[in-house]
Amino acid sequence: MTDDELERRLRAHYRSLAADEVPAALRADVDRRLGARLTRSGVAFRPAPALGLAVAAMLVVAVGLALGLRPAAVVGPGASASPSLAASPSLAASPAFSGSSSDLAGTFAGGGVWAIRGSGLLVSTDAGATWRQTTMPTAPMAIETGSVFVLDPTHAWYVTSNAMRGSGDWTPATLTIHRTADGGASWQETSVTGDYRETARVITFVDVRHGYLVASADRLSDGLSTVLRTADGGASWTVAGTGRWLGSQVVASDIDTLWTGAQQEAGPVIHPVLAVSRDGGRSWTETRLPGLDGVVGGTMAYLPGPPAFSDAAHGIVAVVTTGASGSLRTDRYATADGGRNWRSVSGATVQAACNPVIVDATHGLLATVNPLGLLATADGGATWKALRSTGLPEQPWFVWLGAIDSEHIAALIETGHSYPAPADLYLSADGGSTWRPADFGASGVAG
Amino acid sequence: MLDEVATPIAVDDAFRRTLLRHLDEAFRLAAFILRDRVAAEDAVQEAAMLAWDRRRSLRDSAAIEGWFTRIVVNVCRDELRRRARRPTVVELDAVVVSGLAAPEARRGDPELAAALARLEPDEQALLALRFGRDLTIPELSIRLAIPEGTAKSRLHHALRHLRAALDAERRHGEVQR
Repeated sequence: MTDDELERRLRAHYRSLAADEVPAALRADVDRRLGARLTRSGVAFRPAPALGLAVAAMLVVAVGLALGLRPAAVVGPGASASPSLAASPSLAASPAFSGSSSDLAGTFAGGGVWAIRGSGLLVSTDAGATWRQTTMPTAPMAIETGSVFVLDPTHAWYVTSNAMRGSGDWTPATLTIHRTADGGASWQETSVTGDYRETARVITFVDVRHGYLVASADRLSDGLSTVLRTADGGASWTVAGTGRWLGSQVVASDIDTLWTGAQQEAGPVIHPVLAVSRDGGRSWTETRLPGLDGVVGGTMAYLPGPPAFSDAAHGIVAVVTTGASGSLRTDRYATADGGRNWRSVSGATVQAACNPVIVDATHGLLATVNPLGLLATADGGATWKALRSTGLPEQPWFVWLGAIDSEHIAALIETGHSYPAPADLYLSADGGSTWRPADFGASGVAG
Repeated sequence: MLDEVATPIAVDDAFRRTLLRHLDEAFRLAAFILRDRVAAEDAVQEAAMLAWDRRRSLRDSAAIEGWFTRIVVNVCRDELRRRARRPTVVELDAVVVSGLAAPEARRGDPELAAALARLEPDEQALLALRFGRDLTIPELSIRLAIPEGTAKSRLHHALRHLRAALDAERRHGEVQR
C-alpha cells in the first residue's frame, strides 16, 4: 500500500465514523457545571488573600493542637520517631490516615508492609496490625508502581520526574531521587540530569547502600533504556549501562544481578521478554524461557509483575502470552540456580492480574483475573490450586500482591474505574484464605 | 486560592463561554480516538472540568483551542490505558479477550480501526486531527503546540507504526483463520 493509499484509507475511515456535534444534554451539563464553579470562584474565595492565609494557618495549628498530634510511636528496631507534627510547621498538614485506600503498596524483609497514599508513607512492621505515618516531600506517581522502594522501616527511596510520563512533553526530563534513612523523619534528594522523558522509572535496592534506577524505554521513548547505579544509599548515581527497549518489570536478585521484563504495551514494541545483567547493569543478555523462543515482548508477551526471588538462587516469573486463538495464557517459570536456567512449571489459559509472589522455595501465589482469583502452589509451582478466598470485594481486581511472611499476605485491590484507579489494601493472616481491609488509623500519628 | 481571588469573574465567564464553543470539536476528536460515543461524552465532560481547574496555566487565551485539544487527548489516553488494564476474560479454558478495539471500531474500516487501536493515544490523536479533521501541518503544529518539523516527524512515525500495526492485524487474522 502506498502512502497515498494509506492516507486515503484513513480519510475514508474517519469520514465513515461521522462524529456529530456534542449532544445538547452534554453541552447543557458542562455549562451547568462550569457555571457552578464560576459561582464558587466568585463568592467562596472572596476574603483578602493575606487574611485568608493567616486564618487558614491558624486553623491548621488549632486543629492540630485539638487533635493532640504528637510524635509517632517508634516501630521496629532502628526506626526513628517522626518529628512532632504540632511543633513542625512544614508537617502541620501531615496526613492522619484511616481506612485502607492506597495508591501503591509493597512488602519488605522482616515482616513489613508499606503503602503510599498521596504524599503519605504508611509503614507497618507487624503485618498491618499497627501503622506509622510519615509525609514525603512530594507525592510519587501513583501509576508508576516501581517508583517507590521501601527496604526496611527506616530506609526508603522514591523517584520523581519533572516530566509526566505519557504527557507528550518532549522537553528533556530530570529525575529526582528522594531518600530517607530515618523512617521518613527527614528526606534528602539527589537530581540526576539527563533526558529521561517518556520512560518508566523503576527504583530497587539490594541493601542500604546498593541500588538501581532503571529508566525503562516505553512506547513513546526513543527505545534506549538507561540503568543508573548507586553504592552509597542513593546519595550519588552513575550510569551503569544502557540497553535497547529494556522493560520496566525490574528486580535485583543480588548486588550485581538485575532483571528487567517486558511491560504490556499498547502498540508494536519489541522488548526482550526477560533480560538479565550480571555485571551491575553494564551489559544485558536475553534470558531463554522454554517455549518462548522468538516471542516478542511488549504486545505479544509481557510480565504481569517483576520476577520474584526468595533468595539469590530461587525465583519465579510469570509470562502472559497471546495464544493462536487470541486467548491469553500465563506460564510460570522457576529457577533454582540464580536464573541461569528456567524451567516451565505450569501454564494455563488464564491471565495473571499482577505480579507473582514467591513465599519460599516451595510456596507461591498468583493473582488472576476472574473467575479463578488467587492461585497457590505448595510444590515449587508444579501445581496450582485456586484458593477459596473470603473477605475480598466481589470479583476483585488485584493490582499488586505481596507476601509479608508465609501466612501474612497483602494485596492491593482496585475499587473504582478511574485512572489511576483507586485501590484498597487488604491483608490476610492465613495465606490468602480470609482477608480484611487494612486500617491505617490503627496506632497512627493521631492515635 | 490567591489566583482565584485575583481573577475577575468576567475573565472566568469568558473562559467558560470559549470552552463551550470548543466542545463540538473536542467531542469529534474524542469520538475518533475512543471509537465510542458514550466514552467520548464522558471524556469531553472530564476534559472540560480539567480545563476549568487548570485555566490559570493558560498564558495565552488565543491558544485555548490547542491547549484544550491536548487536555482532551490526555483524557482519552487515560481512558485507553484504563481499558488496556481491564481486558475481559470470561472462562478458564476458553478465554476470550475483548481485543484492543472498542465496539464502535466495527464501524468504518474494521482492520484499520483495530490497527489504530494498537497505536499510542497521542498517535491516534495526531492521525485523527490530520486525516479526520484535515488539519495541515502548520495547523497541527499550532493545535499541538509543537514545531512544524516535530509535527511532520511524529506524523511520519505514526504512519509507520500504523503500517506495522496493520501488518500485525493481518498476521493475527491469518493465525485465527
